[in-house]
Amino acid sequence: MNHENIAEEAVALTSQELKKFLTISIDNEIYGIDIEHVNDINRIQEITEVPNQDHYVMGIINLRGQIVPVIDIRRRFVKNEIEYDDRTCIIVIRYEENIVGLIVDRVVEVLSIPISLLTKTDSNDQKSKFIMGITKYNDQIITLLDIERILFD
Amino acid sequence: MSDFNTNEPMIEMYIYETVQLIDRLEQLVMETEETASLAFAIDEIFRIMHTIKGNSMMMLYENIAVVAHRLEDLFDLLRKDESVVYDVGKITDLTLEMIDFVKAEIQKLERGITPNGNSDELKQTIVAYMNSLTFMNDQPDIKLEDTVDTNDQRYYLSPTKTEAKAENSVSAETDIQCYKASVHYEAGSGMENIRAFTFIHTVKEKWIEYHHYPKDVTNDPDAGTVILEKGFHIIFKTKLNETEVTALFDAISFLDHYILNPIDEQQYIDYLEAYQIDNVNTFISEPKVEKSAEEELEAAEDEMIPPAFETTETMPKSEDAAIEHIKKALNPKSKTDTSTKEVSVPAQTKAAMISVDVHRVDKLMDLVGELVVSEAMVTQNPEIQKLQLESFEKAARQFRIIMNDLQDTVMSMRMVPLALTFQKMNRIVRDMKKKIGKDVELVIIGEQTEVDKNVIENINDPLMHIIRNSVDHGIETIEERVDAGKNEKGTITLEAKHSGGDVWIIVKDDGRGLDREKILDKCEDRGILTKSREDYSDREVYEMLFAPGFSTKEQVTEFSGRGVGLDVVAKNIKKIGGSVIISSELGMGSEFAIKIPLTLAIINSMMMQVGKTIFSVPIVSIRSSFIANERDITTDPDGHEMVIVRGQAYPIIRLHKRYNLETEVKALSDGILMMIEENGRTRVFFADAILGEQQLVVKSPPHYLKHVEGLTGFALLGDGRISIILDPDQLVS
Repeated sequence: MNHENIAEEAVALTSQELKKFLTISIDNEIYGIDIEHVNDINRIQEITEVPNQDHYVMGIINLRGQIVPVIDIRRRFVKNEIEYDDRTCIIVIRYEENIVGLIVDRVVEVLSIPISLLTKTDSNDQKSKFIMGITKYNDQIITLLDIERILFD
Repeated sequence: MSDFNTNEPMIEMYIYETVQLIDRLEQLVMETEETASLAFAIDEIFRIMHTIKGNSMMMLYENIAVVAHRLEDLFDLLRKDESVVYDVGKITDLTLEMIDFVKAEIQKLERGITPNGNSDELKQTIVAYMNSLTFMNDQPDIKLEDTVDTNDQRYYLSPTKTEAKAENSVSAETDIQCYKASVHYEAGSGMENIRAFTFIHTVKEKWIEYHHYPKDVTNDPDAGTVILEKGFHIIFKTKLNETEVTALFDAISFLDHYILNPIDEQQYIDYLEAYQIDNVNTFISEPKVEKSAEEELEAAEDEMIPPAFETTETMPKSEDAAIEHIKKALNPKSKTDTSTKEVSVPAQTKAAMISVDVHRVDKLMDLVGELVVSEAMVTQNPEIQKLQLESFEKAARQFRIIMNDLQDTVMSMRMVPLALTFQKMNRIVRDMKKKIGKDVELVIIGEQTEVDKNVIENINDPLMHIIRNSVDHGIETIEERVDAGKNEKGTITLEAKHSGGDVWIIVKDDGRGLDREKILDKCEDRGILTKSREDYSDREVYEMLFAPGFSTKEQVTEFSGRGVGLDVVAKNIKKIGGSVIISSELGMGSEFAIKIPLTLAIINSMMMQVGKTIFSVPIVSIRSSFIANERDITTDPDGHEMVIVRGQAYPIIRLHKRYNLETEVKALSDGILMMIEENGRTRVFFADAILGEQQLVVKSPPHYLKHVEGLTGFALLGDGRISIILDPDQLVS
C-alpha cells in the first residue's frame, strides 16, 4: 500500500523519533502500553479483596510495603476469565497521582516503534473505547491501549 | 515568572527556615513576657534577627530584611550595653509585630506572591523606640557632660584629639576647617532648645568659632518650635578632623538626622554675613557641594553602612542612617563583634537537632515495616521450621528484639511535643485580651506531651478556635466577673495528657459557662430541635454547638462569632480521628475536651476474620467479644437480629453481609460477636473468628479505590497480608 511505503520511508528518515511500548498478549492479541506509564512488572501475587468496588477491581496487593489496587484487564475488556498461572503478570502503572496494577496474561517484550507508524483511532467509538491507536510493526498488528480510559472510564 | 521557578527550592528553604526561626522567636518572646525579663533571650533573639535579616537580604525581600535589621540593632544595643533601661513590654510588642508581619509575608510567599507588605511604619516605630532608649540612657551623661563625657565616646575621641592637636601644632592654621551643619531632632522629642543648648555647650570648647540659628536658644521662647521646624543651624570653625566632627554629631540624642558639610573660607564668610544681618533663609540654606565620583561610588557600595560616616559630604537623611550613627557612637566596635558572633551561631543552636524531610521519615517507616515482614518470612520459613536449629532460634530472637527497637525508634522520630502549638495559644490569648479588654491568664499544663507530627499539624487550627471562643465568649468582662464575685482575672487552662492510646487536650475556662436554655432557644429559632426541650440531655444540648452555622453570641467580634464556629472545629478534629466532649456548669465555666489518637499512623487493634478478609478495629472502641448464646438472640419482625446482653438488646450487624463477603461461617453461634461502642452508640458485629491483637501501621486507601463506608485504611500484617481497618465511628452510625 502506498500509504505504508511512505510511512516506512519516513521511518528511515526520522529513525530517532521512536516511542517505546510494552507489549502484552491477551487471547493471542498483542496490545501495547506506552512505557512512560509503566513503573514495574511483577508476578501475580496474593490479592486482598476490597468490598464495594467495580467488578474489574480485583482488590489490593502489597507491593513492597505499598498498597496498590489491581485491575483485571480481561474483566475490564469483558472477556472470558482464565485462571491466573505462573505467567500471569501485574504491570504496575503510574498515571498522574495513581499507582494501579494491571493483571495481564503475559508480557511479551518492549518495542521501539517509530512515531510515524502510529495511527490514531477514533476514541469515541464505543467498540474501541480503551484503544488510542493501532500500529503495524514487523508484520504484527499492535493495539495501543489508552491507559487513562482503562483506569477511569 | 521563570525567575520565580528557578528560585523555588531556595524560596522553599527560605520559608522553611524563616518559619522555624519565627516560631522559636515567638516562643522566646512569650517566655520573656511570662518572666518579665528579657535578659536571657537577648542573645538568641539577636541571632535570630540577624539570620532572618541575612536570609531576607539574600532573597531580596527588603521589607522583611529592614524590619529584622532594625530589631537586630535594637537587641544588639541591649546586648552590648547592660545598663540600658528598657520596657520589656514595649520590646516584646515590637517583636511580636515584626513576627506577625513576617508571618503575613511568608504566607504570601507560600501562595507564590512576592512579599510586598509595607514595613515602613513598623520600622519607624522600632527606630523611634530605639532612639528614645538611647536618649533615656544617655540623659544622665548629658547632665554631667561638663565634667564627664559618655564613656565610649571619651575613649573614642580623646586619643584622636591629642593626635590632632599634635598635628595642628606643626601645621598651624591650615588645618582649621569650616563647617555648616544643621541638626534636626525627632518630632515629639520635646525641649529642642535645651537639647540644642546642651549640644553647643558640649562642643564649644572643641570649636574655635561658632554661630548658630536660632541665636538665643535658652531665652527665646520660640526657639524650640523654630528648631523643630527648620532645624538647628550652626556654622563653625574647628581644628578637629572630619571623623571627629562627625562623632560629635553622632552623639546627639533624639536625633532625626543631621546635615554636615565642610565649607571653604569664602562660604563661611557668606554665612557669617547672613547671620549678622539676620538673613535667616540664607543662613539656614545648605551649601552646594560637588560630590566627587569616588565618593559617590563609595556611597553606593555599601547600603548597610550609611555613607554618612564614611564621607561627611553625603547627607544621612533617613532614620536608618541616624540609627547607625547612634549605634556606632555607642559601640564603635559593634561591626566586628557581630561578625565574630555570627560564626558561632549555627554551632550553638543547631548542634543537637537536624531537620529531616518528613517524606524520608515516612519512607524509613515503610522500609522498617517491610523489614519486619521479611524477618517473619525468614525466621518463620516453613522449610526452616521443620528443622531443629538451636543457634538459629537464638539468633532469630536477637534479630527480632533489635527489630522491635528499630521500629519503636522510627515511630518515635515522628513524635513531637505539643509545646510549640501551646505556645502559639499563649500568643492568641495575649493579643485578644489586649484588644477586648478582658483579663485572662492562660495556664499550660503538660506541654511536653508528645504526639505524632501529623496530629500536631491538624490540631493547631481547631485548638486556636476553641481558645478564641473561650476568651471571647467564655470569659466575662472584668465588671461582670467582679459582679459575680469572681477573680477579675479569668483563667483558661490548656492541658495535655496521655490516657490509654489517646491524647487528651483539655481547654477549661472559669467563665460564664454554657447556658442550656439559650442554646435551646437558638436551636428552636433555627428549627433544629427534633424532640421536646426537656428530653435533651446536657450533653446533647452542648453537641448542638457543633451544628453548622450555630453561634450563641449575638455580637460578632473580630476574633470569633462569624458563624463558622465550632462545626469546623468538630469537623477538623474528626478528620484526625478525634472527638470533642463539652461539659459545662452555668456561671462556673466550661470545658472542651479533645480526644485525639496518639498518632494517625499506628493503632492498636483487634483483628478478626470474615471469609478471606481480615478486618481490624481499634481496640479502644471494643467493649467486649463473646460467643453468642442461642437464647440471647431474637429477631424482630423486620428480620433484624438482636442480641440481649445484660438485659439490653443490641442490633447485630453481620460483617459478611454488610461487605458482601463469602464465608463458611453463617450461624451466629459458630462465629464471634464483638460489641463496639463509639460516641455513645453501641452495635454488635458478627465475624468468623478473632485473630488477635496487633499494632498496625495505618496506610490510607489509594485514591483510586471507591470510598467504602466504614473503611479508613489498610495495614500490612507481619506475614505480608493486608488487613482492612474499620472506623468504629462509621460502623455504628
